Amino acid sequence: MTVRRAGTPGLRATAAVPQVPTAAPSGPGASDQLVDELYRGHALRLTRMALLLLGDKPSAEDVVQEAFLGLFRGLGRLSDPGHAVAYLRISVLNGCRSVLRARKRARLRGTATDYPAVWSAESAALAGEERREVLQAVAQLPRRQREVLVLRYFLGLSDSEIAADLGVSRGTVVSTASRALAALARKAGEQA
Amino acid sequence: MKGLEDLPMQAMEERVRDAFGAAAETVTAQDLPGPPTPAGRSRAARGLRARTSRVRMHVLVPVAAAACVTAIVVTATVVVPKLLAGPSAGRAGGPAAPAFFAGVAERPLGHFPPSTVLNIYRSATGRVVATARPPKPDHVFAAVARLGSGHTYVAAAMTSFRGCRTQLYRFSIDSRGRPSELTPLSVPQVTGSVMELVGSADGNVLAYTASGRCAPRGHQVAGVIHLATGQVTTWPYLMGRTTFGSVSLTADGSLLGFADGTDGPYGPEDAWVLPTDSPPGPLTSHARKVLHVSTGVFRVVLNNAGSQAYVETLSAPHGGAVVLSEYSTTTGKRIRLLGRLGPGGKALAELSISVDAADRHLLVYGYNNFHRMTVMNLRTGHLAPVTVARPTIGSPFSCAAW
Repeated sequence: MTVRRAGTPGLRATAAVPQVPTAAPSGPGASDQLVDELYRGHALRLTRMALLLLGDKPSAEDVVQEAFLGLFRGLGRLSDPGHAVAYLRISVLNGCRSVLRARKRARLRGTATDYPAVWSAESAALAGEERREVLQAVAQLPRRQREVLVLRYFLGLSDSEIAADLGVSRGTVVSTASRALAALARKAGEQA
Repeated sequence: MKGLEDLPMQAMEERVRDAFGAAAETVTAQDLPGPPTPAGRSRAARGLRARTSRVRMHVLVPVAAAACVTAIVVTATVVVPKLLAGPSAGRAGGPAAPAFFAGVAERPLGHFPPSTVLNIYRSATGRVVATARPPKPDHVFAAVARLGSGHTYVAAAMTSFRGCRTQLYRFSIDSRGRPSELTPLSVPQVTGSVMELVGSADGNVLAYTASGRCAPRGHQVAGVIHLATGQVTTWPYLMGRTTFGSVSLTADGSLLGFADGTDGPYGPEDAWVLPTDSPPGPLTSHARKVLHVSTGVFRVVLNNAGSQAYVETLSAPHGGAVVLSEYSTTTGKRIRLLGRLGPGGKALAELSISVDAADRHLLVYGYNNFHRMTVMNLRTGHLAPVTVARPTIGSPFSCAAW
């Protein structure tokens, strides 16, 4: 099996991330403009992040749309527009958790009709069986471990930033990531 | 994933990065809908800054709360009714919602056979400002629709409770919300019981769906009436494993929109358009499918131009909220999410929507909770609840219009 040394550079957080305006919006049009800029700059990354947590595109799009709707409502209370991206990221995380909880309830009621995940066999969107296996293994991890992996390896956030987003200590992030990777390796070993 | 057990942690990290990157690339910028239209955007647009310090807030909160209550009471009782009561409500084509809407109400609720009235509600407060009785004692109001962009409406009244015939009546609402006398439209009576009724913004075309004991067995009928010529065209629809409904018209009445499709877990999943000059025949034979929404098309309303459609659907396949989204009828793609209409669950298919003539505001009402209506500004997404003070809307279909 070949281990790829690099992911997709364009998607890494270390790649160019749109700058967030740091000045407070002033005037009726300014906040609209700010949110539009944020949408243009970050909606794609956030949708991709939601996709990795939820598995399907429609749900991911809806969660991100809801997050931006929430931003409109909360923008007046946001003292520093520079925090808007973190606000959006946390909103998306919370939205994903809500969707996953709703899915769980629906499964218990026997009414679940999920969209197929991009890594499922039903979806032809993702190329590469190894990638599918990795993503399926990630999807089976506990929620916090999944979130830490996505924030760290997709968004490229530092452990401190992840800790702030998840409301846990930096040490917890490190140990959670370590346990998640170990679980993935174990899973891979079982499948071998 | 052979041999992964022995891979160093760094290699596992790279595999995760690679898989994440590949999966993420399945979403492209072209897939994204546009920026959402916000609810409550006005607050943000005003640039309100909320908090100063906790100590000052501690002092200010009770004072501010008292001031807010006073302001709300004054606004609700004095300012808003004045603004919306008269012709000034729609001044210069401004963004104000129509001042009144008409609704069919049953009274007393549950009485058999039903006794219905036509209520005129003030949009801002939900209060009934006028009531009209059916033109004849045995008539039963079934639906109401706005006709044209002014204050003219059409009410459908079954000529008897058996529902074999429905007579259409025209009436108007004056600047104080009082309805004129109901005048029979000079068009043939509709066979069956009218379930849905819509009028075009140019005032020339009416469309309806009808069913009932006297309709052909197992059929519903969609019909269009060209008021200038009196020409009536009907398209039968055989009810079976598929359902149809939610008719709407473009401003010039040239296109009829409707939802139709296999009755999935969320009802029909497709939206269609049919040129209203199509020859009679099976409904879908001349129609064109323009949208497929897998989370259901509970209601669909074409915009005035017919280029877009407002679709009431679920935000997720299960457990999602009921949302209103704007779709392109050309590409079939979602343009934007307009807002959340309801919590979903049991209430998911029990909402109805009615768009005003200017294509700017949406009236949302629920089958099981008629006292709570919502007005949505289609440009800003702002949602304003309206509590309807008195009787209930008596059917899930076109029972309210503005």
